[in-house]
Amino acid sequence: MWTRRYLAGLVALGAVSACTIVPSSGNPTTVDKEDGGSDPLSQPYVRIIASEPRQNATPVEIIQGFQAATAGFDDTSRMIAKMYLTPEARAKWHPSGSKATVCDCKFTSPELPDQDATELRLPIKGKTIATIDPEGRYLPAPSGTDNSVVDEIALVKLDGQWRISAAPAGLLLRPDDLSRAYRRVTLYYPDIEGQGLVADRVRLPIDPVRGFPESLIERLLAGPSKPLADGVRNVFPKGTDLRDIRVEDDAVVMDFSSELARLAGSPDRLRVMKAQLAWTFSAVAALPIVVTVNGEPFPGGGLRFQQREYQNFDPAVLSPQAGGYFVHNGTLVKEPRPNEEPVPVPGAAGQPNQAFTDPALAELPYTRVAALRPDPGIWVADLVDGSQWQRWITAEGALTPPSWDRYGEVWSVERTAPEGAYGSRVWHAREGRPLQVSAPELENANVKAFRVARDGVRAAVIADHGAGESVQIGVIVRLADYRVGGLEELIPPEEGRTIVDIAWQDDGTLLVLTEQGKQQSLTVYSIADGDDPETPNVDRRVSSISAAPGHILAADEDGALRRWNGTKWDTPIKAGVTYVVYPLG
Amino acid sequence: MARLSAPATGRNPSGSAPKARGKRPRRTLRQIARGVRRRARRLAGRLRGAYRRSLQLRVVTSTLVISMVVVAVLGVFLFQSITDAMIAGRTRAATAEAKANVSSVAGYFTVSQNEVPAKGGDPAAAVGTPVELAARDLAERAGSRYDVVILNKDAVGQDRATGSIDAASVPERLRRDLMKSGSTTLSWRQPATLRYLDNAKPNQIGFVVGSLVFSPDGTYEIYHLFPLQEEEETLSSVLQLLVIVGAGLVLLLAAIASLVTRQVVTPVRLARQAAERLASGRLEERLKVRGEDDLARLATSFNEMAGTLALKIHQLEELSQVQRQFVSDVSHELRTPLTTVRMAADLLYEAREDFDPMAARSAELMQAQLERFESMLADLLEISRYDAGAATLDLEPVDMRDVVLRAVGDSEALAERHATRFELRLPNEPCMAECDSRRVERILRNLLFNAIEHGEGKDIVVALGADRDAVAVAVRDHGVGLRQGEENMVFDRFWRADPSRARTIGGTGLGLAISREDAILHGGWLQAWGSPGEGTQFRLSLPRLAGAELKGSPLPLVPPEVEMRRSWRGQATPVLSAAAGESGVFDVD
Repeated sequence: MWTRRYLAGLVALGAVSACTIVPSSGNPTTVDKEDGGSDPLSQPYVRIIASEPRQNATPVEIIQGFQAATAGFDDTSRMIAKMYLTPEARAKWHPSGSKATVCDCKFTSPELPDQDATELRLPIKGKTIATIDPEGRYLPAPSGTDNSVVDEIALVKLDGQWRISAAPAGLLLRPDDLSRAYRRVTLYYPDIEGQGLVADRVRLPIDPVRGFPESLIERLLAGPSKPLADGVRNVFPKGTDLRDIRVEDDAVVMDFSSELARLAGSPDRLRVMKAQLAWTFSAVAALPIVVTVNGEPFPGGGLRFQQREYQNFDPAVLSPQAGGYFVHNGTLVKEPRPNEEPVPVPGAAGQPNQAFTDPALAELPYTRVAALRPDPGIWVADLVDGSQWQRWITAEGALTPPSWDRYGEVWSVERTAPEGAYGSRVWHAREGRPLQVSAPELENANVKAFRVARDGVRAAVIADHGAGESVQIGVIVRLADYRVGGLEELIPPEEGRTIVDIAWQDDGTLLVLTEQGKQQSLTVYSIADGDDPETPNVDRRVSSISAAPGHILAADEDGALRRWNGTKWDTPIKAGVTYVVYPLG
Repeated sequence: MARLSAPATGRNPSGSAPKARGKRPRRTLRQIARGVRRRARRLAGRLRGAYRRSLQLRVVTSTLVISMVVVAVLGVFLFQSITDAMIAGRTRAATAEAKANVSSVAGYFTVSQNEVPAKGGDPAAAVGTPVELAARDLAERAGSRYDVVILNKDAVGQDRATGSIDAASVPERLRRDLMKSGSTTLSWRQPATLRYLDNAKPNQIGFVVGSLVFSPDGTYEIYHLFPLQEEEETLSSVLQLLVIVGAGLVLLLAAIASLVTRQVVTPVRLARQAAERLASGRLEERLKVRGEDDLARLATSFNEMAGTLALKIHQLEELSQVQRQFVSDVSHELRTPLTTVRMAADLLYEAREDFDPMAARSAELMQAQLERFESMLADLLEISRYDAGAATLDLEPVDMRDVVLRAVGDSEALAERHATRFELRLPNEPCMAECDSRRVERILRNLLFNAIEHGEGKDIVVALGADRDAVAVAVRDHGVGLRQGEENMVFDRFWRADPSRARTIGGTGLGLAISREDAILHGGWLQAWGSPGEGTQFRLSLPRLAGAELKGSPLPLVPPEVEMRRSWRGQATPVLSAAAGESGVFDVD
């Protein structure tokens, strides 16, 4: 009797509840990608599945299989790739620790080997696109030079199966492999003074076992890549390890080993460390970060922070809203807002008919302008009413246009060699006191321009060592004695090409104005990845350029001010403009 | 239980066991097992007893069992349908997604990898090979919801996977079947365990959907690996919920059943207790009536029944009182005329020699019958005194041997007339007892007269026994004996073993009834044993101290020789003993 009542009750309940399980109306809500229930830390990626050599594979198939196996990062020791090698070659081949070459190589046999051939040499045909050094730095192959790969792979027949007896050193990747197996990441390290962050752009192989976030933070702990390492610090104590990284309560919990607890006593370093994590991790997810040590909250109160708290560490320094300056009829003028008349700046530079060229501006800690004047030397004037030009650097030889760094120091390079010879000396001056800077790589070169990046660590140089003008990127080392070193060629010299001007757009992008046979071209270079195909072209000859994130200012030969806002050029002022300048850079 | 504890006890003997055994005998395994079994059996017995006795327990148990079965069946059915709906829905949606994915990436595979134009410059924007583009596309679509594996048996270096899925998660059989079918329109599906590289993630239950795509570079197999972990977790929590709810429901039902039965059982229990008290003679016992339900009506009826019963019993008692009074009155009233008649009859009897023989004989007859009438009247008066509760004891310590001898002496004359001899078995030392010797003598006399009358001239054994608390006299005859069930009827008033038989001694028919009343008055027993053909034995047991409760008798009720014969027969010839018991002819004496 009870059970029958119970049954009837159940049936009744079922009948009642059948109507209203799924809501048929409601308020509209936004749908994120995250709403798919996916883990914010896991991003989709593709792996290559390395497969063992097949039975009776042709030599070409062996090389293709070997190449595919080297491109897979499932197994960092590459056991499967080694199966394509003879035992001797296996002992000699060490893929990890040596650079990887990216080339669009084709492996085709010119003619089929004889049936009873036991040895074969196959040439590798193709062009090198870039190399990736063991630290993950992507070094694009200089364009315009002969990049064709001249190497060959030797194969022998072992027990009736072809095997590679001499493998190319390091990994051989194809462009597909590069875009599949590596991810571009930007690591952030503080400058020596801990004022801001400097971006270190590297390629990080995708490790399917560890996952991208873990690989990223571990790469950050490993320290900056080579030339930059001298100019920046890494606040993480030596031996710090990432133990775990996971998402918990809408926050990323990073668990480090106990070494990190040493930072508890120094709030400055802690602040910088948080900025490093926040900026580096922003590539993965915009979630709050919680730092724990050995699974416990960070000593002295838990460490939980948002990425937006560290916006002032921006390595680009200049915000996209920053206004530019230009020299109009011999007076320095601040770029007006729309529908406003240009107003001269206060101080000496704002007076009419001032004789100065190539101005450079600093806004922090003081708003100052530095420029070349008819009298030799670097002249500096504050942008305050009643200021006068002061000579900060006095030199015998010709000086390059001045360049400010973020610490309020002005930089210039003096030409020390006579016409036809090569020699330079680098100067920097702080509050009117000039100091010489050691720059061994520039001593035998003529320098046309020296621009300190806004992050204060990198410097772009137009230098001529005798082979023609090239653009090089160096690092300023600010120890007891300043030093400029680690120069690397961004744009190699080319016959008949001159480099008119360079300007930093942000911390990793350099604008290069080149001229070849009366034809000017403006190129945007990423210092980590090579040139950007989407370069804004100018239709007129340009005499001066300057750039800020998202903006380019140029003064053309007619004296018109040209402004690029990311999509198109416009011309707010038609005549009388000789120089354009954004603060720093 | 015992088996589980075996290793623990079995390991000991090597080391510490002898010492321990020296102090305190260690129980062996078998003893422990036996103890456990015994305890279990006792518990089971107690439970069974409780189950038999308690209606409530029975109802609750059956409710529990039935509702458990119902809940289990319903739960299994419910869970099965939820599982089916969920898994089927997920599988359908996933398969549809896999098919849509495959048909949308199939476009990439129309060109060979070798025909893709090589492009220098920034590799990020490079046009990839077909499999690269397809894999990238699929990875974008999959996100972290599922994984895709692309395999190609015909070309080298064309195998791709998304995420950290281990390509070996694709079951070999699915690959074989898919390749065998060779159709791009047909997809294959198989449940599988999804494994991940180096355990980057724990293994998951899921299923794999495989499809084929033809391309100039050979046949690509595209596998979608869908995890069902979420469904699994949801289902397991649903299962937990169902189990908890089911258990709760069953317990609730049991509690309800218990409550309901309590409402029924409690009044029934009260009624039982009332009936028990009623049965023990407390006729004023009544039930409380609450409400108007069936149980209330039961109580009302019970009370009515008890009332009617009490009334009837009262009436009967009154009636019986009236009758006794009547008998007593009649007896008294008859005495006076009888005395006169007696005196007249005595005169006639003394002068009988002067009468003619006929008249003389009549006078003799009248004299004899008058004597009998007188004694009958005396007995009637005596018994009515008992009925009225007026009988009193005249207690004094007496030697029972004297009492027995006096009674035997009184019966000598009658015994001689019946050619019967007495055999006395009396102890040597005195047997003192507190009793009314007159009444005890009367009892013994009655027993002896009775034995003589039914003894058929055979010897009568009179035995006296005594112990610390009691004395007993047994009178044994070897007459026709008593039939089964007559042992108690002999004490009824005016009872006759054979109604057709005339009373030879002229007993009143009240002798044994009076004797029993006498025995009861002493706090003693008067019992009879008899067996057809073996005679009869009456045993009178009395406490030595008046008022003491009698716990046993010094003499057996069944004569020892009969008992011995029975047991000997039972052991020697069981088959024969049955026959002998029935016929009663087999006599060893």
